[in-house]
Amino acid sequence: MKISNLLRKIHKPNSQIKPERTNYGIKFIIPESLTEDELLKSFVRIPTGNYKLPEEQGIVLDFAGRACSRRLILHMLNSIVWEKGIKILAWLSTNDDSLKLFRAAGLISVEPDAEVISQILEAQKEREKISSLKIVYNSLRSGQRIETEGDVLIWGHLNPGAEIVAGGSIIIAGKLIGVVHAGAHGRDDVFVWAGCFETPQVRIGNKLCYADENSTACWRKSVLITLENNMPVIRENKFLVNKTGGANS
Amino acid sequence: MAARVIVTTSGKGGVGKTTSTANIAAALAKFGKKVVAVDADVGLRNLDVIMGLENRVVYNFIDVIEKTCKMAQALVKDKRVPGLYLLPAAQTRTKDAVNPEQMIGLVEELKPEFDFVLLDCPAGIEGGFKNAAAGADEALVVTTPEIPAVRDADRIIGMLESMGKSPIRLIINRLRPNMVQDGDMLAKDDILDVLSIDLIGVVPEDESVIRSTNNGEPMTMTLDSPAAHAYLNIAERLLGHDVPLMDLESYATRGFFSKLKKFFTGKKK
Repeated sequence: MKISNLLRKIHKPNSQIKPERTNYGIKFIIPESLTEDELLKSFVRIPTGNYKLPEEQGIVLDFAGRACSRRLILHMLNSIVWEKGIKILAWLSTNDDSLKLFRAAGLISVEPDAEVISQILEAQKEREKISSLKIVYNSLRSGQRIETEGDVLIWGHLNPGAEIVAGGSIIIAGKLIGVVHAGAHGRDDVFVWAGCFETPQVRIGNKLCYADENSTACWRKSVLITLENNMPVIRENKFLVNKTGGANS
Repeated sequence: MAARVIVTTSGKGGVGKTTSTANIAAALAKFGKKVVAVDADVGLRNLDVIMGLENRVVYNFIDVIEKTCKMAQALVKDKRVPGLYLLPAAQTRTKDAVNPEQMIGLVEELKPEFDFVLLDCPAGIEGGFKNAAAGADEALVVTTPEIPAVRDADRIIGMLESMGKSPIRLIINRLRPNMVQDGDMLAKDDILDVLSIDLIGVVPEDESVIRSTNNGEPMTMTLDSPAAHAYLNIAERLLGHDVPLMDLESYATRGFFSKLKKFFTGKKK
């Protein structure tokens, strides 16, 4: 949505900057006919939100045969790269002096090749896996196991002997009696939420905690378990308790 | 005639699969159905002993699969109850002697001849279970009111669900109502809470089970014990009749020791 807005905005009939959608993000072809000031104004006019691409992707600036000045490069860095926080993957030019300037500034002056693109796509896939949510609409029985990079929601119970290992957070809508490991790859920004907490063991991030009826007041209650200062913290859901009984009544 | 094929299974051993199979088969036959109980526990056969037919076993179902004999030669007819048959397992072979496809073929051969095919499954979740379950459409899961048995039953139910068996119904065996009342045994509702499947019957702990096993006469043939009535009720429910669950609490208060305990403790119930 944002990218299409950007393309529409820049590609007005009277605009001379030509954006191209690519596998690595967007390539802006900047014609030599624009003055440096016009060029800077065109970029500055674009709202910050319109530069947002998937975090692995970025923008390539193609200055064609333009002889870029130090002033232009500095302004581009100041007003666009640092100010708007956009990621420039490469600064391209067919002009030798411009290329020298880019290289002297340590800027990449080669368009992303197939290898870089495949790395970008791979990283994107990995991120999508981590941010995915797996929903299971039944209880998990003894011996059944779910292993995923992302988050898990069980719309049922996690019976004794069942196991979930998730890179992200875990929600058990029913009874949590089996074993859960949230943040299995070491993430500590994850949580375990259980409708009814009855498990003797919870694994979260790199922490392992044991529980039983006598060790916690949250036993058989609706709970949220998080990591705070690298310590597991269990909180009882008290805000849904009604007059007729507990949170689950 | 196309038989309903039901596997009796549990996961854990010693919970009463074979006893349940024998008694339910005998009860269904008493209701006028033509029933075959298939002992799918190759290498550890017991169904023939519990049904009192071990002396009449000549061939077994492995012989049928290997075409050493015909199906009619392997089937053992129970002369005490019309319509009751046993298809024994081989005692001298292992569970590798048969595969799921062969088991399905065997059941298909039995289906047109019977109203019910009951498959007595071995304990465990390996090949023996998979063979027995492969041929079945429905399942009866037997558990005792003990945590390991319930957990194993849960495991088996998950496997049966993934194999597409339906309905899967639960038999709670060897329940002691007095222990449940004292809070020393899992109650019916505790078990159902974990397993979340339909209950088809609760069989109370009953010493007549041991007698009938040793005598080789399924209890449902004589009906002189609470367990026999429980199995008969299960058979009726399998036939689709609406039979209420037995009032096991009254059995809990009938025994001499219960009365003695009540006398000393002053407990009313």
